[in-house]
Amino acid sequence: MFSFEITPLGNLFFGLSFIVFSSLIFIKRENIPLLLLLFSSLGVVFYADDLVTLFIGWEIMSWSSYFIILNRATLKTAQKYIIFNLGASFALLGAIILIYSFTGTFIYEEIYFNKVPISLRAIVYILLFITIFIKSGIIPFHYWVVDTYSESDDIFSAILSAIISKSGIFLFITLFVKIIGYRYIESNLLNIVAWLGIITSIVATFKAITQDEVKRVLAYSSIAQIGYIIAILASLNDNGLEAGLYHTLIHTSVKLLLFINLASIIYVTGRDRFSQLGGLLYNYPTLFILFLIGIIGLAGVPPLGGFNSKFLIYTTLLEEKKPILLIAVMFSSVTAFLYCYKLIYGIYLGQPTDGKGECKKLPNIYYFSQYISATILVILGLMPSLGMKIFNPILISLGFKPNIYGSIFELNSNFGSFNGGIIMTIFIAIFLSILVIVVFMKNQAVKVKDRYDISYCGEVPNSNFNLHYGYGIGEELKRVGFIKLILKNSISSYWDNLSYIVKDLSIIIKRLYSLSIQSIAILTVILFIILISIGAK
Amino acid sequence: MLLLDVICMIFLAYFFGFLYYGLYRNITARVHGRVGPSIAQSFYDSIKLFLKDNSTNFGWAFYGGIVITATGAVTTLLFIPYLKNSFHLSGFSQYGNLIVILYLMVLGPLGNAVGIGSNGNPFGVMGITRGLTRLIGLELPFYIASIGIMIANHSADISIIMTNQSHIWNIFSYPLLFIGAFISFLGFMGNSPFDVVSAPQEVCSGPATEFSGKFFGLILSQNVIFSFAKLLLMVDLFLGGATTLFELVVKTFILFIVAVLIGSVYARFTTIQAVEFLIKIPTIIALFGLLSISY
Repeated sequence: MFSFEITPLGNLFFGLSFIVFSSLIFIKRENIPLLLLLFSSLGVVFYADDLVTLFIGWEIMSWSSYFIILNRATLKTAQKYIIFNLGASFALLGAIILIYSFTGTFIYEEIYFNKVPISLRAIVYILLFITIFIKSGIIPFHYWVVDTYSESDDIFSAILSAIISKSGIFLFITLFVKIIGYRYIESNLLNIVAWLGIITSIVATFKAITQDEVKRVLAYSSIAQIGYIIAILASLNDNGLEAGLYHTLIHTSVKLLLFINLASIIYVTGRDRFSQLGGLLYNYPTLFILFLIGIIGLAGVPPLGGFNSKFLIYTTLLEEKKPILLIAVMFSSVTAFLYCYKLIYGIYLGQPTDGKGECKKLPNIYYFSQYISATILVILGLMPSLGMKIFNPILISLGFKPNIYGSIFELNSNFGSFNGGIIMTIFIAIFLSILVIVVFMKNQAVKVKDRYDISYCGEVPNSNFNLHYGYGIGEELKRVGFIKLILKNSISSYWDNLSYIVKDLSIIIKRLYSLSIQSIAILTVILFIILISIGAK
Repeated sequence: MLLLDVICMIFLAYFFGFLYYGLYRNITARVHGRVGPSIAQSFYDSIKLFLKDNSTNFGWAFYGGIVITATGAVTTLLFIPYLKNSFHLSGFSQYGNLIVILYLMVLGPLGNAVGIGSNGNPFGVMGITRGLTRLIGLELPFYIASIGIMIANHSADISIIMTNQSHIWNIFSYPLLFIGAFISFLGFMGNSPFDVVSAPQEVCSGPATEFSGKFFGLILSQNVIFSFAKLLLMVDLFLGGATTLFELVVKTFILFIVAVLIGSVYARFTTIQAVEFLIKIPTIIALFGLLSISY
């Protein structure tokens, strides 16, 4: 019954989880058995060869995460997580049962999806999309994501964002490309999915800008980035798949780096809000440089690897002649610069909000995973087609045509190519030449006395002045018409109301079980009379 | 040979950038009924700033941020070809394309933002936040226009886009796209009505608050080089490129003078007004242009 197969797709996702877990498991001293269980459940999901094995792995993954979340988060948040993920599991189970009842098999290769009647196919698709959307946090199912990420243990947030959120992407590719076969799916349905992905990314980007808690910004940013991946995967062709996989790789590295960086900052300062942080640059210069690399990767600016996946996403959408979708992606990606800057300024730049800022030493183990991610981003920036070496076997195994590249430094698309190696080399060469010119100029750079030695409208600021602007970034956006509309409305009120209704209903049902002994006696007598009167006939 | 080419490109951008900057100050003064400084003044300013005795340094992140800003501007310039179908003055444009340039253009401002953030002056950061907020509106019409051009040419390669304009320039083939991109371009050039970021009239606010001596000189130089790069990009995308250096100078000058004249008569938008204006009028104009290409 239980069958596994080693596939290139499974290798990629399991490799990513191996990088994430191996670099993090030594930082965290608690919950090691549960983390190992989670890791092995990911292995089961990624290497499963039949739907039952997939489902079992999926369930173990959800439950082991639940117990880890329960350790730190409030009960309400943990319940939110598990209720949504149980919903996802039920939807997946429903779809599996439907597929089995018409095809008679669970094994991937033996499923002929055209045996499922056309009228029922839509139900299968919807059930599967609900599963994927809940796990990836696509609107309107993103309600559980932000609270769970922000309240979980700092290291576990990194695991959730970097790899657990990718299990939805894996399910998307496995089910829709490998099992169902993308040719059967209605293109209108895929368009709706793509638009849901993009709307998610735009809304989440604006929400991210206005957050005060640092981990909430990254949580919204994760939702937004996975929105891109879903949108681009919905085109379901070789270019779209390639772009989606590339962005998965980049996003895993970026979020691993940024979340661990925040975990380090929270560890050394004990604070996790923009209104309490700031000016940590000269205390932790290495952390700052690593964070800068992560931010450049997140913003998708050359010369680092983050640009490659953006480039592939744009050229794919250009080629598919979906300009409006492309504009929405670009808009969301430009808006993201604002929260990228808020992150780096609010934490590292500007003035310290608490006056001095004590320096606790950070254990070296925190740096390990950040170095790995930063190296991946730099190497992919230098050699963009290195990613193709990983993705081409996946494309071939799924029956697509691989991307042909001439040199490893060059990334090709039908709309043109670019040479990452040259861009990186020129950037470094020009940087060094300008630096040398500026440093050896006759003009001397005089170091300021202290951090309050700034030009401040003719006044002399001291430590009582609020000089940090960090949590103010994004406030003025609330005055722009359509952005105000996005920020004011929230799907969470809908889910909250639903939960109240369910709670009230459950109180009524509960009444039946908690009646007093007298009323139970009366009810028994009435029941007895009814039974006798039925029997008398 | 390539090195010589690169040095020529940077020098030309520096020279014409400061020439246009001097003209900008002069023309604006004439529009306002003043005499204005001589054109040589802007060159003199640039050299004078580098020769000052000392300049205030806020630490290595400040230093590095400014150098990254200048690097971003020069790198962007080197990926935009100056001339059509020419080996000379094309820099590294064959290794990049329009999407690369659109993203390289962000690199400089990112470095600037880091440099300004590290000096701890809240007024500088206010300027950066205004800039990033305005960017939300500013990029939208420009990206729509670029997408339109890329779809119409079925390529993101700038040399192909230039060659395809041999018979009719894009400004005439796709006028709506040009209008959308041009309004954005006014903002990219830091002209009124979108100049709230640099806020040239307020002494104590905006990104340049803490810059002095060689740092201010570097920021000024990279600014004019970057402006020239943007002019170059507009000429390449919409005005058919140029076959000779003279043609290039004429085309960039016309584009520049129109931008300056518009800027000198308009009052300034606040950040919110700028975003609201940009996501309405130019975006809708550019969208119509795009739809006329796609369907």
